Amino acid sequence: MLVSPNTVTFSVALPEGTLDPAYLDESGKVSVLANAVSGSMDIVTPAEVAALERLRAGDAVGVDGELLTGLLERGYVCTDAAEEEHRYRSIVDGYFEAIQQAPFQFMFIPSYVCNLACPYCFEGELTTKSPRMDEEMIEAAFDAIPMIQDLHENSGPPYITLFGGEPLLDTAYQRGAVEQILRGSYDRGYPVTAITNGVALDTYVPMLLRYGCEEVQVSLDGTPEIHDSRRVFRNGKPTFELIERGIDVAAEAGLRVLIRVLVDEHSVESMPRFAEFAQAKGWIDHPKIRLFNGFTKATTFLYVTPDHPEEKRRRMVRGDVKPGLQDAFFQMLKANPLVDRMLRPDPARIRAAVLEGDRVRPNLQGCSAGTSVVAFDPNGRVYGCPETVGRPQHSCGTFFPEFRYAGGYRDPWRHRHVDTVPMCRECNVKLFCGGGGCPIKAWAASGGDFNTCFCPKVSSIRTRVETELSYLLPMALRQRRDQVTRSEGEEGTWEQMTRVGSFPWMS
Amino acid sequence: MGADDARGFISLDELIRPRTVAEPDACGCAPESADQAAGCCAPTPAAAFVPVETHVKQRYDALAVQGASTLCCSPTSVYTPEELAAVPEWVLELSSGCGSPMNAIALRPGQTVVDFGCGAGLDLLIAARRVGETGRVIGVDASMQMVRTARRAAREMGLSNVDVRVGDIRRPPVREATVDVVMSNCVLGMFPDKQEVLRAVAGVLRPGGVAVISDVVYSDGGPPPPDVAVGESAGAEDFARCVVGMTESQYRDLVLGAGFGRVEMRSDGLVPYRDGAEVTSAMIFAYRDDSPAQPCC
Repeated sequence: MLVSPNTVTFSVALPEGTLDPAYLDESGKVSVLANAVSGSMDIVTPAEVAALERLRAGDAVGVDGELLTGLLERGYVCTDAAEEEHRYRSIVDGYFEAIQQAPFQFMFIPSYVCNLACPYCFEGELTTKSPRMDEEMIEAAFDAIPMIQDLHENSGPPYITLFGGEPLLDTAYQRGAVEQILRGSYDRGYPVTAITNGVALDTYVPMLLRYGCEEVQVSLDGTPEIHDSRRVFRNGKPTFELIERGIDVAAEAGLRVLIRVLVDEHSVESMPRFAEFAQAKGWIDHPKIRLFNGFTKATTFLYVTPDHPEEKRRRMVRGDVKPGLQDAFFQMLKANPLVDRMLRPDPARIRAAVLEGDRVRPNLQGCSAGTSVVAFDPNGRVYGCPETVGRPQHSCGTFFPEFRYAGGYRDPWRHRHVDTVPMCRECNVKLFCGGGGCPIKAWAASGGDFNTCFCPKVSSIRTRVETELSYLLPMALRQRRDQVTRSEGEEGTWEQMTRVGSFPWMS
Repeated sequence: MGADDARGFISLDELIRPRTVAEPDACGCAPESADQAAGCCAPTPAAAFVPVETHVKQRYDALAVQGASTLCCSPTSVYTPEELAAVPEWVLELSSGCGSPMNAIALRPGQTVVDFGCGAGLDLLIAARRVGETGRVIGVDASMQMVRTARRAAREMGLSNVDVRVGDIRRPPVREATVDVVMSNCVLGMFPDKQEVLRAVAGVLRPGGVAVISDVVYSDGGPPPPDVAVGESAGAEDFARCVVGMTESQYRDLVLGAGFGRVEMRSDGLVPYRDGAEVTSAMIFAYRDDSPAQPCC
């Protein structure tokens, strides 16, 4: 009997009284076993963890037979290492097959110019002055789409995203370029979305609808007070009301509106007030509106080039890691269920497994950059990650005036996953980390090698899952208690437990 | 390697160059790293896997650069001098059709027509005149060089209703159910999975629309000799020469299985092909539904 290499033991702090003390270890935490290959996640006792560790060390003597059967059924242990490896390979191979059929996003940047001056903007100085895509360049970008899909061996449906700078600027040039992109997409049958700051969204709604655009994404920084202290026009004028109006007009007209709520250390405490505002606006339950959270981040890593000294490279990449913010965010959520209902946060991608009875799914792709996203910029350059646009060291090639594609740069990125990164291969949380973390950070930190990983990610991934578990588990257990109380006597405990969450087996 | 490193850039011809695929070694492992390569998985010469579509694209890109095709029929045997008037000479030189779908269907002003595999654009340019300024013709071709050639010709002829797009006709960059007529002149034969292409043809047609396809098929008198390339066993050269590797009956069944309601076929007479088989340039009329045939010729 072997412990599966993908079995992970998470140690989760729960509020006192959430579980029977028999589940608590010496430090007062609860152990949760998870295996993303078998799809299982279970709360176990310290004695069971100890038995598993004995098995891991090759000592099966004295391990209770019933426990062994349970561990085997849930996929934490196995009898044949080759079979287990085969199951793992099937998941990885299935992922790459799925990528080949997946929708491929092509982002068009008509210009880098933006009318706002957000202090944390990752495009920074690019947004003040920019070349523009002319008609010929837009046509060339459409020509490049099938060629790039061919190079990526992707046969999925292409879809177009208007991106910037700010794509929906209220200027004659921008309207002309946006209309050409929308028309070209409509004629080709490509769905279109737009990522916009939203200040002129209302004026673009008729054009977006005319060409079948279905979805737009805007960003708000929280309450009007917080938002208007930083997401402002270049002359400092506020934008909240304009964006609010854009959201209302778009949703009323039938467009789906995604509202990305930016959270950072300055805005996290104001989220409950913003949730009340969104509730009063009717946004939280609006069928066409969905709110989700994003974290503002430092983007010094985008400026790294491989010839920077190693310490400088690592310092510039490290600037993005802010573990304290995540803790503060979940602390705020615990006391504010309305914010949870508004954002349904799930950074570790385990929410459905814990609360809805889904299986634990392997997280092999942290983001789609590299595999199924490409951005066309107004310099005629192609980028694989929309956050890297305008940084020539990250350009994958050109689409205008000639099509050139940097296979030497792009292919290691495209094929990168936890098995191509040596330090990830033996890591047992690799199926929770999104394929080895951000490839661009890995490339920057290592000085130009995609088959590396920027870690502290191992510890931060484990912490991320444990933080989210400590938030979700009390909710799941509360849900289950409520369910059991409501339907007592109508169905068996097993059915109730499996229906409520993915914890059918709590020893 | 940095992205701006000139050695890292691979030009357009990556699309048409054989792609390397690591083949499993005797041990069953595909070498992934230098460390592995030092062990049981010593580096093996990379085997070249060239998809048929890539081979075909390579051939037509090369032809476009060369500026002349030595393939198939001369356009002067298909179209009248009046129809060919003002068509640039290089378009005529590059014409590689095996039939004349344009002469088999009466296009009407205002119609939307798509040419799947338009090449240098001869049929496209003639169709553009027939549908007039109120109509629209769209050409789709996988070869960037051919697309450029067709665009240039449309510009020189002053045709504003022509739109030429780079694209794979298995996933055509054309909105579904928006087209009155799809024409395709000796192109489907180049694709191993013809039903995939035919489904795409059906997808872009409006209800009542018709596809007019010319292809080279084996005579229906009997199955092709066993030593003749057929279907999946056909070589890349057969595909590039547009010999479909199917009999007329097999082709008819394929069309009906791809979502068309009705099919008609006409043959231009038999000619000998290699290995003693006989082939014919067939005109296939595939109707999107059971509506009556459009008046033609």
